[in-house]
Amino acid sequence: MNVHPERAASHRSIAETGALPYAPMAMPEQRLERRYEWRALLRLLSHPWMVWK
Amino acid sequence: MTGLQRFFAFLFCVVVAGSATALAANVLFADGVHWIDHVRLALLGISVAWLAWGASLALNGLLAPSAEPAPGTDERGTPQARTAVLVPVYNEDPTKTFSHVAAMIRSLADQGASRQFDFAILSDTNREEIAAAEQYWFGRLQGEHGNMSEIFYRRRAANTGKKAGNIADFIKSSGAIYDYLVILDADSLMEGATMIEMVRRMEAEPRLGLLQTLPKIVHARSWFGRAIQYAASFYSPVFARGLATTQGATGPFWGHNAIVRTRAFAQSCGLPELKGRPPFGGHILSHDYVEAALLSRNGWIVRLDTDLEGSFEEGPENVIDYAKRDRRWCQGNLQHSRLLLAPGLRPWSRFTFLQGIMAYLASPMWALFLLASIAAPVIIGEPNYFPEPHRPPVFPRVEQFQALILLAGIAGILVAPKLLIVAQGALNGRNAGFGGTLRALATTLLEIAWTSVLAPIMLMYQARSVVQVVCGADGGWPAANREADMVSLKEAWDASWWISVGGVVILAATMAFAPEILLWLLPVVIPMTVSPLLIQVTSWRLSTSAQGGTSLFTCPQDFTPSPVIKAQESILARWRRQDDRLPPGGLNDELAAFVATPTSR
Repeated sequence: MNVHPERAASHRSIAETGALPYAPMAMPEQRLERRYEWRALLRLLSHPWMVWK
Repeated sequence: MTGLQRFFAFLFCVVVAGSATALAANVLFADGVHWIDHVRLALLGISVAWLAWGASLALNGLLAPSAEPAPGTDERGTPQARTAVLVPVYNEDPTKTFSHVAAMIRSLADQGASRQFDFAILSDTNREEIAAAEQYWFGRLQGEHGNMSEIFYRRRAANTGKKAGNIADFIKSSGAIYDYLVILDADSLMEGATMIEMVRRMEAEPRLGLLQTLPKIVHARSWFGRAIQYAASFYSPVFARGLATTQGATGPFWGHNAIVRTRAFAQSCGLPELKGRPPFGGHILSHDYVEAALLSRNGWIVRLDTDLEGSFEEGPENVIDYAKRDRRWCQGNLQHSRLLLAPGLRPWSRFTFLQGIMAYLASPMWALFLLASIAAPVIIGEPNYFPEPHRPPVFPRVEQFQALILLAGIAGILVAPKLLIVAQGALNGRNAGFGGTLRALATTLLEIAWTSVLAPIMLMYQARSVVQVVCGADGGWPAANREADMVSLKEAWDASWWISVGGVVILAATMAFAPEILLWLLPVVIPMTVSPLLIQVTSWRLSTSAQGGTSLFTCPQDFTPSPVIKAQESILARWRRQDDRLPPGGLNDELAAFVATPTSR
């Protein structure tokens, strides 16, 4: 096993072969639930042709 | 064009469902109007609209002009962008998975592009003995192919977020140096030329966030598997073309055999955990649909390119494995009901969620329609032949002819697209790959009969899945993973006895309460009653010849297998044959199949 030191320190993986390159990239959590778009749904129901725009 | 395709699809559904409902109203209201008739009409109308939607996709696919080469196709040379090919694994057969990777590396090397593609096997395996076998086979892979591409293997301690979490973990730690990620499944196979072309298309359209290919099913051996493989090869390209033209830039993502722009995916697809407990809360199960919707929400194009060949996957070999997979998909799609009102989604993305939900609600709707039809005579009671104040007796009309037209119409929606695909194949020469038009027609008729026989069993499994999810049950049924493809009669009985019993109960109830519809119900009730037998028989191996000459359900890949498939088969055969290394210690008998087994010489 040849774990990249920084990854090893993070304890995210327990085994790593070939030492994956350590090149972190942010992956922000998306907002899916906090605000329901009732108006969007009403608009869709009242103007169904929006779907094919 | 997309607006026109969508308009046509909606119009087609409305006209077909409206006509079916009007016809059914004539039949059901013949002996008077009752509330149960309205229930039956509503169930029938929605179910027919759903069938018509599927048919409209096929018609859109048939009418769509042949795929124009997407930008990027004409370019020559190897793109210099760095791409990682991600192979997430979870307790799969490592020998097979790594043989797939080896074949893809060779295919890229043949194109002179293996240095631009790194391979990362991302293991979420939680069975230690399989993890040990993975590491053993990774060593073999590295030893034989490590000079062609960079190959990595990493295993997570906990499989948080399942496959989506596995990919996200890779992006968070290593994503920044890759322009693109080819996302595969453990059973995926792609030609090197296809992967290179996908990178070219991503380079040619900077707004393209995700490019999905249409994978063809390979390596099917059983009757069931071969029938699905045939359907995926013969019908799916047409249905997918219809889907691609209807969805346009808000295309689908099926979770594998696709390429994503790393920056777009990282920016858009960090999935949250939904509030509450599974099945509706917790991790998002069918993450692919959601990721496609989130990419679209951020303005990225998500596209399905059906002209891309050289993309393969494997399918379930029997009804039980199919139903198990379907149970997971059912839960994932019904979970999308939580996301229908998520902020900022494109209207079409919401509609796609709705389609996914409807794909599973359709089965309980049909089941309810059948039950309502059996119960109707009991609820309505005896007709009143001498209603006051009329003196002459009033006899209820029997609208059998209209009922037959209705049945023929519904069958037509299901069958006509497939026959039209044969007809178009005869005109454009596509049938040649399937053994000629006569053979394609015969195989299609066999597949239609086959699907019709198995449909009631699938309907029952789907209806049960929906009920389980709605009642809050998480996960599938607790069956052990079977290494053998063939299903024994006992296994089939254990998995389907309740369908069999259901068939007998429906038969008895129909004979008692509604004998006049018995004949209509026989095509449903008979397959249900003999379901264990059907499940067993359809799992039998179907003999195949290398040339595809004598086997049923032949596909072009039988006649001319893709080079990457041939390479994978040869690598796997060699690895399984060789005995130069002993398996790692501690492997049980079941897992011994995963490592090189000694053979007598």
